Amino acid sequence: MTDDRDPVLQALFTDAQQTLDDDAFTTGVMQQVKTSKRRFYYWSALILLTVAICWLLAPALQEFSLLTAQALTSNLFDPGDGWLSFLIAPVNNVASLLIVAIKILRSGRKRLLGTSFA
Amino acid sequence: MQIATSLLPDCPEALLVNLARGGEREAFAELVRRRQPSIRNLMRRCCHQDALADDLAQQVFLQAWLKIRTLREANAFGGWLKRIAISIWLQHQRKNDALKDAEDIDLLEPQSRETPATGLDLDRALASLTGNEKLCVVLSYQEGMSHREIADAIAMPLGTVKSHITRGTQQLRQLLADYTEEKNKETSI
Repeated sequence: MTDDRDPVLQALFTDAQQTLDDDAFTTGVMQQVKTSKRRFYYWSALILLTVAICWLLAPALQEFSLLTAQALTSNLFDPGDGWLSFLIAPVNNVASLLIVAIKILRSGRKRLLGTSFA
Repeated sequence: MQIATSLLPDCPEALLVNLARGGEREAFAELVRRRQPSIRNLMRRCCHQDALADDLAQQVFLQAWLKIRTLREANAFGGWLKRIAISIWLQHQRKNDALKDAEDIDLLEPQSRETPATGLDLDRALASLTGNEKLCVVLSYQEGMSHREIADAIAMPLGTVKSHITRGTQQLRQLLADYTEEKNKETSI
């Protein structure tokens, strides 16, 4: 098989070619080119700023994350030292309570609105 | 390297590409001006919607601007741009795969008044082909690409490309039978 083309279809494709206004299109593209350059500078600046802030606040951030981890894993109540403490350990903490609360809120919203935005 | 803007329209394309690589926006604008009809017409044949076609064509040129430093051969700009266009069209097609089957020829967005009647009929006929058939047919007939070039550009086996083109051509001939008969009459006269 060769790359031979149907001459009638070829003629149709040639006829269907449009002469298009180039000025408006070119202006649009160049506007996007300008915007993309500006966006690149904004993102670079934002990343640099974020890195600088993280670097400056590293000790405070570390302390904050430690405190948060401690708070989330703290027990909701004291079940004592028996087998019950082992059994409920995975759910006996603030993090579990937060997850359950979020799940309930989401399912409540789903029922109210009849749709999920998850 | 700076060059007077008034001289750009007469510059050879390779020089414009080299200038654009160096960050010359005016040179790139001239490249856009020269290449936009082919890219926009390619997108129009693929998506049958003028506004969407122009949006996709804009994305093609934006990508070209962002990647122009990676182009090694200044003379290969045309083919390189076409490959970007194909890749952007394929990405768009993949994103809209779920909606593809629901595409209805009669619900195609009305074309602009400048769209010739032949273009409208051709677009309607093309809309009845599958995504890959349409792309292969358009690249072959409109862009004049060989089967091998198409296979390389869309990363598809050569045999598959050939069968897509054969099937697409047969279907287009059936759908555009009036034109075929008309042309046959013209040649017999």
